[in-house]
Amino acid sequence: MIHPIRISFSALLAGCLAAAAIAVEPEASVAPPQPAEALSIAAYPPSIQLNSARDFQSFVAVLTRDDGVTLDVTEQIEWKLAAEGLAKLEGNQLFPQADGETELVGAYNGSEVRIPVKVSNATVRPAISFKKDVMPVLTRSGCNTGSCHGAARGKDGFRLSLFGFDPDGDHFRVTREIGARRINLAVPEESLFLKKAIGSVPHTGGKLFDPDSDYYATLLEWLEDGAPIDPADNQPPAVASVDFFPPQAVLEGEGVKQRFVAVANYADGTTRDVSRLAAFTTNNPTSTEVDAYGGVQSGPRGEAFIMARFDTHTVGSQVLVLPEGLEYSAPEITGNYIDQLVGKKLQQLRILPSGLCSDEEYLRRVTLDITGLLPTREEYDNFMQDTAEDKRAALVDRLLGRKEFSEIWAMKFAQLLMIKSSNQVSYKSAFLYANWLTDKFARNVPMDQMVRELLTAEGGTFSSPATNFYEVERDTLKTSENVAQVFMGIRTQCAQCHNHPFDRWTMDDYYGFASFFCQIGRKTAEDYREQIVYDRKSGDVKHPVGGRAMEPTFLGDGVAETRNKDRRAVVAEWLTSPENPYFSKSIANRVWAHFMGIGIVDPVDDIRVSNPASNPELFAKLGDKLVEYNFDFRQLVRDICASEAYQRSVVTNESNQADSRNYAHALPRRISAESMLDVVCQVTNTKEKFRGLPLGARAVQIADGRTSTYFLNTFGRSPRDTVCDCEATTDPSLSQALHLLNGNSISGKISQGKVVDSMLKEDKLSAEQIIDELYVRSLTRLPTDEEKKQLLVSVSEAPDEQQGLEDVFWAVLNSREFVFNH
Amino acid sequence: MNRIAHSLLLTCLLAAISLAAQPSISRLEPLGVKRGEATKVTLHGARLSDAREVLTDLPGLTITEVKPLDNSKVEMTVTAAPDLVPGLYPLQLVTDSGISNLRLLGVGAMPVVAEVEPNSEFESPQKIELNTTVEGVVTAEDQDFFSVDLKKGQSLVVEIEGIRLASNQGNRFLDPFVAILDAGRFEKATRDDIPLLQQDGLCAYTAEQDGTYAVLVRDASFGGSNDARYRVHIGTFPRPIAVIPAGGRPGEILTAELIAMDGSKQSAQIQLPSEPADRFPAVSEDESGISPSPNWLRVNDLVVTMEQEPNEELQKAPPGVVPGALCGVIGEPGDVDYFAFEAKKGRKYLLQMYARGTLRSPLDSVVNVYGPDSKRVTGNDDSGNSPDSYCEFSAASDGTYRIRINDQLGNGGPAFGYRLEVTEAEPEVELDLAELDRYQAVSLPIPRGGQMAVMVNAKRKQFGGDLNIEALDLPAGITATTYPMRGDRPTVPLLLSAAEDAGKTASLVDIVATPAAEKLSHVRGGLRQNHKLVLGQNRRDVWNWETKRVAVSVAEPVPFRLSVVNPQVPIVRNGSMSLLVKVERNEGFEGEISLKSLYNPPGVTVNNSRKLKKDQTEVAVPMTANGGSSLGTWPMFLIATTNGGNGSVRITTEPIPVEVQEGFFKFEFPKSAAEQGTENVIVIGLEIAREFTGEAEVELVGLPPGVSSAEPIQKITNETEKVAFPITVAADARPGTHKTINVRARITSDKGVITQTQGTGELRVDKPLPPKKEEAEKKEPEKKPEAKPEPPKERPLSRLEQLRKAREEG
Repeated sequence: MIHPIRISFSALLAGCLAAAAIAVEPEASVAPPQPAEALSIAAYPPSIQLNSARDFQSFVAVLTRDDGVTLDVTEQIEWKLAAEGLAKLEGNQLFPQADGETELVGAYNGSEVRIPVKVSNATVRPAISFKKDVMPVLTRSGCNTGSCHGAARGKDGFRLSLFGFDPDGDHFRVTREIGARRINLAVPEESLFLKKAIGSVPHTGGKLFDPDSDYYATLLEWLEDGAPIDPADNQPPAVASVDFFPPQAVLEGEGVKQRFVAVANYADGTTRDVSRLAAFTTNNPTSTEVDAYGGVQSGPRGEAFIMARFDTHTVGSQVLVLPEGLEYSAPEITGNYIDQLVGKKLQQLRILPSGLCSDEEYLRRVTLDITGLLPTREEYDNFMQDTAEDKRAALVDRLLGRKEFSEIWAMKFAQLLMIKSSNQVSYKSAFLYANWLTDKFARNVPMDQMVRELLTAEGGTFSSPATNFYEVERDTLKTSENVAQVFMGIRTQCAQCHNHPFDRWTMDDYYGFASFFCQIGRKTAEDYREQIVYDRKSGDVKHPVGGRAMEPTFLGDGVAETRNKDRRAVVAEWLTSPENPYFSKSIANRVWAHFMGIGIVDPVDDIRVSNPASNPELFAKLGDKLVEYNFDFRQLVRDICASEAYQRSVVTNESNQADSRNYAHALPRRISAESMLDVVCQVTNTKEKFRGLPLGARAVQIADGRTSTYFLNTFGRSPRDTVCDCEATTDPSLSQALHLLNGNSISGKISQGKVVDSMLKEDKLSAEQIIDELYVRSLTRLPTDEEKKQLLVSVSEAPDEQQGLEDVFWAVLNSREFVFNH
Repeated sequence: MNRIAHSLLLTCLLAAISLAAQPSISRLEPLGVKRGEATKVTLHGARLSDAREVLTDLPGLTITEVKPLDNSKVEMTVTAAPDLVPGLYPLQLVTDSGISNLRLLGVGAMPVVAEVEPNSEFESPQKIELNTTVEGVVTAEDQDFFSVDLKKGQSLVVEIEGIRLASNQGNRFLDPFVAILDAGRFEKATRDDIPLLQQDGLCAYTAEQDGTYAVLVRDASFGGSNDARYRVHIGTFPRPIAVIPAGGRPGEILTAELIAMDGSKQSAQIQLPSEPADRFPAVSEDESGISPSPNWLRVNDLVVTMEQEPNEELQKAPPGVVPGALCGVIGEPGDVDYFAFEAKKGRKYLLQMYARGTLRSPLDSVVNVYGPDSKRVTGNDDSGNSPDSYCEFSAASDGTYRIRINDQLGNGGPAFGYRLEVTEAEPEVELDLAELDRYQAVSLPIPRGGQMAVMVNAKRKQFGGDLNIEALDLPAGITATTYPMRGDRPTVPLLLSAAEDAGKTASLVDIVATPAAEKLSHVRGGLRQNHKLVLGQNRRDVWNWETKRVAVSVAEPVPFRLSVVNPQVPIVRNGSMSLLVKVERNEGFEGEISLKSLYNPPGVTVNNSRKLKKDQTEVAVPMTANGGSSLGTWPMFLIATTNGGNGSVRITTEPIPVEVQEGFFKFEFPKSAAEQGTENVIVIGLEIAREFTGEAEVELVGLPPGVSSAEPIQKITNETEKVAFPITVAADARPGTHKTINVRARITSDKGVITQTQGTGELRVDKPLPPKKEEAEKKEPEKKPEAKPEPPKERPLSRLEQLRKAREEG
């Protein structure tokens, strides 16, 4: 039984380490196979460049056991340089001596790893640069965080730009703002700037580093040089990317350590060891502890993402912590491509999935998920009696053909697009906008096409309802934020005022992207309720630092060519192209989250480096599939509903009960507010009346977000105030329970709908049959013998049979089983 | 939100209240008639029991047997001429006490049937014959289905009149949506709004097979109410959506293309009227029927230049005749039309686009003008509240100017017609009447033996100077008193008086203006009255109807006589005066009469809340003139309103000549200071601007609490230069700087009193300094003894002088 794990693990590692393995050493692949254990050692970074006399580089070696567990063997390996005299080895750090190329060779237990080393400018000691050297020390020491001098008004009279978004301004404030107070160029050691940092004078922020630290040395040398700013014609190279090694670690047992190395790659091709300058964090402090220099120590079982942030870049590696001596035999992975990827992750985590759910559970679950309604008695009977092999797939197909499916998704997007009437948007506009959306889903217009139509909409808000997208939110910056959040799952809001601290987005990215939406013209049409949206063909977004007009720039993808084009059309084209790295994944993830209860990235609209996907391969795969299906997400729904991951039971086992992110079991979910009301109406055979809709219209059909009822508010309907997916909540609450118990929704509807009454009087059913009917109607299952026995007793004790049965109905509708999709 | 809703409600209520004064019609039943047939029409409304006749603005309707059924219903018999152009015809009801608001009556050529519920389900439509007009109502969230049988190839056209029939429901209105559905419930054609008919819909479908088809009528966003009434024309009639070119010269036979909804074209000959018309209705008629409403054309003396493709390039712009009308079509998306014309240096050219206006074309025009050097001279997208462009420029040099016309959104199509009228600037004048009730076009019932005035506003273009106003076609028994409109004023009153023995007459009256200057005697301007038929939220204009005449009638006399004592003295700038109004009540009349001014001379304000209660025979109406009020003699009018039993009635007074003169005095206020518990003198400088006759006195007013004057009134003569008022400051007078001091000067003669008021002076009340302290000794003790003895002397020192003196002496 051990065998399958080994296969899958080596496959995984081959994937993860492919880059490293190729770069490190050709020899590793030809190393003689170990007789007892198949060991593989990898060393990082894959190559070392030392670019100046100041430069140094630390390295780390990782041994991967055949069961996938990794060990930090940097200390155990014997390191030496292939050619002497070029560099000096100190611990796990390498310092330059003379120009040339060689290799760093590590020997361990008979195997060998090699890292190419290139030394250049070994005797050149470049001057300290404010931007390249001083700023990272300030950021690293936390000087410019929001709680310190990075606050909007600074701290204790001294302000720095938050996370260093404005280095020139910071230079001014350090050196010029208050005459000679902060720095003393005559006696640099006496500069307040330094004395505060080492705590030799009172400092609210306390002592940040020692006088003998490299940080101190950097600042002092800069001051000794005269505290220069980087000349405009000789700016230091920008950080192009940051690498973080090793890419993955699987630690066994508590208290195990693994060192990480961060390397910055500059635009001029040079590199730098930033392990002492980056900020390290973990997203799971219980399982992993990370120190200030990239050292990780394991805690209890769990999965973590260790992140390093340097300059505007945040990068991370996955760390799995497994209990020591865990006994685990991996089950065979079956099912479709989703199950392959889910299964792989579960094996990695040594988690056993739950079994598949029953037909009854599946029928209720999938009907609720796809249509927002419960299966009828007839549908129940048909499905239960169906003996076909593929009856579940056939059911999904039938459900996808129903208009309720498009209505659910139209409602979901109506929430994200904040469709509601307001002072700007007339009821008619909101109504037409919602109808436009429903029509798009009903006609199965591919998502990319729909989004393109929406973003490039032009004309009157009545004659071309998609233009309401630009009426619901008229602010340029908010519009661009909304586009990023709704269609790419990216929250750029932070970058409006400073570079995003937990993601890659800078203010340049933010304003560059916003400038796609700054040429929207609006005017009132003949009908005062209608607005005309058009391309103004002029207008710019100004960067708040310096006030330069920003060129339209794709998020993370360079400047766009928009001359003589509608800027919105350019961004819509980019956004919806199959190559776009965010759009398809984000949409697929939203679909996935709807069916699985939790996104692979969760929240679904907060995709960022520091909130990694629980299963990156699956995340990418679903996006690819959506592209492959030409953005027809019905097909994706088929895949999801056919997966074992979706079909799992909610019943957990010992290994998966603590897990909620890896789809080892189904998650019970409270039914959303609108569907809840629709379902209550459905089972009680009653009708609701909403403004602007005929009697009996369903809550998911509500066009205007302003239309609501007490029931919907209580059950967490989206107020449609922001584009956040979190606006619609399905958290159970006491007021919901009390409303169902005491409010008039349930009891009123039971008597109003006369369900029991007609079963008794028209259909002449017995109490036992009626209980069966009520169960199937509400819970999509028959009562157990025990339940039935007890219920019949309570019916017989009631003053009359009808009341007894209505009480049974009431009790069923108040059960947790009814309120949840499970 | 709640608050907003409330205030809106309040606005509606107020509007309703102001409407309550006059008879009003809320709807007609039926909403329209078939031409050539006598039809009984009931007018529903309020205060109608004394109805006596109906005024119609357009020829072709014969209305007889106007008879009130009760106070809220009037029945009449309407016969539209058999060849009357189908469409909307305005009418106003005249009662003995007033004139109603304007309503539109539909006139069609097809038989009218009423909607019969239940027809709200697709499965249970109301069966009708083809070529029928259905009158119905869209109740809340209602849908109406009508079914017709069509043969393959037969074209069904559906045109609805909803908003055009002015179904006003407060700030909501019926915004109809129409659709044609086949037997399988598939929508074959739908339409919410169409520029041609504004919010009303129009759709057409040619049957692909024999069968029964359904016509759906509902509100576009499932609104509706019991007042949301409509007429829907369902038939095979022709319904062009554009006529190109849309206009020509008077008397000519216009050869035009009619554009159908599917874009197909058909040539037609249209006989234009012999007189110019801003909106000439052209209807299309063939063997299959007649369009239920007209297409509108412009008829005037301008020469028409039709566009000639290709004309998409600036340099190759084909020439057009200017002054003239440049007509064409933005035929496809992205199309651009250029015209070239020779301009003369120094001449001013006006470019007015008619596309959405009059023609009701879908085009949202943008017009740009380029000079001989190909540089842009001027341009415009929208003007006023219309998508039509308007711009003007003076040619900087002789040469070829070019005009570029395109759609703002780059749309285009066969129906995107336009007519750009390029004219040289000529003197013009246009009149309208200032509303007496908000949002209500003026109508003028003149009580027998009484008079009523209204303000005539004028818009002069390309000239200035005085205007003479004239009222034509007055009903028998009514005479007009007109005043010339001064060159510096855009408005002047017009007074209509009804003789004691005037009969029950009524008519639509023309009001015209001609410049007083001899050389402009050919210029003549008329009235345009805008009847706001449907108002939206915040009383925004949604649907209105323009007339060129105002309804005037002889009404029952009011139960009182009003007279005003004409002031014998002027009102001066910064002055005030009261008008004494006297009333003689008829026997038994005890109603309250409220007074407000119709029109104030510029800079003059009148108290509009004065009332004559039942036991009062006179009341003074105060008025004030500010420092910038316009000098001269102005006719003023007060409007007296009372409840006439069935709604309110009103008259204006005879004209009150009010003369505004420059002030007599200029006062100079010093900044005074005094300590609590002391006495002081306030001295105010006086300059006599012009000599007065009679006795004059000056009164000091506005002293702060605790400060009093023993002699607040001082006599002055033409030689006085200073007026000194002794004051006593109580020990508990409120300390601080009080900027409330005023003087009121009165000149009293046997003709009356002229009052002039001027402010404001400043008095600072100080607390006595605290008893001296050791530290403060050096400066303060010296100040104190000096400061104290000073005040009672002849000339009080200002605070600054006091300090200076203190320093000198210290």
